[in-house]
Amino acid sequence: MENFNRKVMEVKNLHTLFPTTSGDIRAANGINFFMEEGRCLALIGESGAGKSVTALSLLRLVPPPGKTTGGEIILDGRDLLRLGKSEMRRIRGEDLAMVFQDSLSTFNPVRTVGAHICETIKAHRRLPRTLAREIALEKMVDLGLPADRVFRSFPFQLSGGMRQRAALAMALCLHPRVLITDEATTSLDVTLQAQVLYYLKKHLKDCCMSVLFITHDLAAAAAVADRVAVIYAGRIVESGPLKEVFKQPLHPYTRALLRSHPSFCPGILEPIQGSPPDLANLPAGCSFFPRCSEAGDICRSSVPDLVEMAHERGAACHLVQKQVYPEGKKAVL
Amino acid sequence: MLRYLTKRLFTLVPVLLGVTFITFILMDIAPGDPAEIMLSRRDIEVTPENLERAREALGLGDPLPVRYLDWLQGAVRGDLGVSFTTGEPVTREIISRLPATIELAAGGLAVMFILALPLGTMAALLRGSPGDHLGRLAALAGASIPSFYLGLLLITYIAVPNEGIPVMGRGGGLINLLLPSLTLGFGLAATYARLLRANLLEVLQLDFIRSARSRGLKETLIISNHALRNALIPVVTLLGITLGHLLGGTVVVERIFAWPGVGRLAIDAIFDRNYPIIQGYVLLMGVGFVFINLLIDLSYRFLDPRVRMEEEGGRVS
Amino acid sequence: MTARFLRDPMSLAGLAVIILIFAVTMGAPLLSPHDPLPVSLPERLQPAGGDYPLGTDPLGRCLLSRLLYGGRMTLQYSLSVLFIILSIGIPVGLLAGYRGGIVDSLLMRVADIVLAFPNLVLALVVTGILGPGLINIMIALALVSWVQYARVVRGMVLSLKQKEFVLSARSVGTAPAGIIWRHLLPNVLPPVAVMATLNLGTLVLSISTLSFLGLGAQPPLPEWGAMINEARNYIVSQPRLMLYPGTAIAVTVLGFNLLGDGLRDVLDPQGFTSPRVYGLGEDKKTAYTAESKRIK
Repeated sequence: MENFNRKVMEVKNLHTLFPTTSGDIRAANGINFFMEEGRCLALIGESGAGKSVTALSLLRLVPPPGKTTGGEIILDGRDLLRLGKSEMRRIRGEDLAMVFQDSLSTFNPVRTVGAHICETIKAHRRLPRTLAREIALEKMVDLGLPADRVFRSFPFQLSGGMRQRAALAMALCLHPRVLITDEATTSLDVTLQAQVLYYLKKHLKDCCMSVLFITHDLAAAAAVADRVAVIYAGRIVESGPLKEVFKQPLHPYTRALLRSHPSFCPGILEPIQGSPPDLANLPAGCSFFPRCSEAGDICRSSVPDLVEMAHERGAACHLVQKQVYPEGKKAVL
Repeated sequence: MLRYLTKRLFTLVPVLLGVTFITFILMDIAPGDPAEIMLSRRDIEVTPENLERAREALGLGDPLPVRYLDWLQGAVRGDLGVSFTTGEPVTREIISRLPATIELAAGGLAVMFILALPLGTMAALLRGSPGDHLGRLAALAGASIPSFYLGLLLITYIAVPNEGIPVMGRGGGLINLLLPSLTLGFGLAATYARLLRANLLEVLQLDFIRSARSRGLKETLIISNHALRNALIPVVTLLGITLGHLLGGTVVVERIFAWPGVGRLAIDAIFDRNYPIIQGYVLLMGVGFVFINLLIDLSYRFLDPRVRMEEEGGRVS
Repeated sequence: MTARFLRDPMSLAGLAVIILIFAVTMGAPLLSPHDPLPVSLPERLQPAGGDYPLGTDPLGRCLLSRLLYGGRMTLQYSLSVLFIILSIGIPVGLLAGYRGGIVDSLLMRVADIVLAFPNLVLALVVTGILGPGLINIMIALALVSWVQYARVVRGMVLSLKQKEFVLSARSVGTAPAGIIWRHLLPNVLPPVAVMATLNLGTLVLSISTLSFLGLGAQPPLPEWGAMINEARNYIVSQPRLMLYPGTAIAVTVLGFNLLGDGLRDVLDPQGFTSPRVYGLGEDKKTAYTAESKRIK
């Protein structure tokens, strides 16, 4: 029985949409998940499923005209969606930090990496420049970087792996409670990926930080995450401890996902039928219905909730829910 | 850096040669006999002997390349000949008036920045609002008013009714500089503000701005340290062309406000067909402009480290 | 995009202003109540009203008529200069961009030399040499202004040269003339149209400025800038003498500016005609240029 760590962040029923002239794009359509202290949650899904939008919603940085229209994001007891602008600004960087996919565009090309990190530190703490510099250098050393050189370099002078680690150092320098990484290792080759993941895990352990690891790469998720949440068409369709979910997936989509990755189902390589849903025109019932090989009638008409199937495991699928709870549903996660 | 400098100076040589050559043959292209003109301006009787002597003095007998080199040599030494009307050395005439023009240009530049920076930034931040549209109209209107008209309007409606503001002339201190600078800088400010707004809007779309927000930086800090810092770079390069407009504009402003600068000297020289002065003026403008642009290019490299990298192919350490 | 233009009130206003001004000034012979040129001293400085809708100038000439004929003159000359500029600038740009090599370097050197002088200064000097007069300032302005078109066209050709449709045309063996005419030129024209529209505005300004200085239209021609020059002695006593032509210039140029600005959104979405953030990546999301040697 695993130790039940404290819940650091809970996302409930998050809705974010982008109004367009041809209808609303529902990028986040009722997202539910939670994160525990010192553990890593992997958010897995295909491109366009709404992962990045979810991450930006947590930071309340959804680009206009998009906006978060409903739900709760509870960090250490406070709902982030109810906070004022300056409150939220204080939380960004200090309690909640993010590392983006493209490290090159994370930095301002005309300023040094060191300048970036120092300004981040000074935005939240009243420290003299020298002290801020010390902290920055220390963090970079922690991540295995030649700190002095990197500090003085411009972003384009660094290799991809070093740059991403520098971005990571910048995100970690204020010891945030929650770190969100959005496809942070996707653009790196395998060895560099391994490097970054290694340092990520080290920090997880050392600092009791929680990590939301967003990716479409199942192998990377498996390497670093404790729990996993599978996102499809803006909703979480399955969640639970990673090992269990990967070994025995409940939701048809998760199953299909695993079958399309050779490393998780040796001998099988089955691409998922059909194409990802159009977030502006979602079907009336379960979003996976058009591509699901096991779909039933109820799937066409009603949207399944994410229901707790077993301890700490949830699945949003009518058929699975029927099997476990033939009479009626239990708690919605 | 040094390598870049020498490389650039190299490419400048043909341009400078072209500039000086064009300046030089002005006298030859112009209709009329320069010798005759010189005599008549100085109220010397036009007789065949005098014409001969005038031609001797101007060296008109020698072949073109010889004259060009002679003139070039003289120019480098600071000797640009003698004014047709006053007989004074051209160099002295020009240099005595140069400070006034530089003062005017500086004033115009200051007005330009003081107006363009805040207005352009605000327009970008208020994008899409009625204020922004009004700003666009105002900027386009500001760029549409001829500077001479603006100058006359300022004189009529601000200087004349107000005792404290002089109508024209230089010498009463900074207040004299006010209206001329305003006239000079206004139109340029309008164009610059638009440019700044466009660049700022583009920069604000970039990812590193979002990343800066995600780190919890104050919005004002993001605008000043990141957005403006990047948006101003191309604006600086444009300073070169702008300076050209500025220098051209001084001619008009000097005329209207009776400002004793180089432009006024040049206009009078044009009407008088005072070729040595015209040549001196063109040379000054041409060469000066070339070097100003060089300076601006160099400063660009200072502002944008990526350019430094391209040239040197190494890293800053 | 064309729809956006049609919905933008300012662009439409610009278009309307230009059409109006063209109509009114080109129709000067029909619309103006008097002949603009003959002097009539007994009628000098009449206020607006009666026979003279806008009054008369210090030499007794009808202001309205002078305004109309003056506008006609200015616009005609501006269009002529523009025609010359385009006739030089576009071919030079096409040639330099397409051929590259020595031709390109040579042409760009010439361009550099022309650009070495501040715009107005060069026009002043050429006018000074050739003497005052409208034809002469036309030559001067043309000489000075063709360069920006050559530069922009050359830049576009350089980037278009690598694009697929050009490469495929070449692979099929299309002659260079054919490529230039059928592929490059149509792509080059829209941004050029934007520049030309805005340029008409600046030409009106330049012509009036030079005329104001006494170098352009000579008396008794009713050019707007010259009219303001004549009004200099009366700016306090009879401000309308400068207000009418001054406003005329401002409104005309504003019309061109509004129109050109609006056209820019339609015809030049990629911004070839304006300076951009240095080295914006293709996806417009990242700003960087070439990546140099990195630390490994």
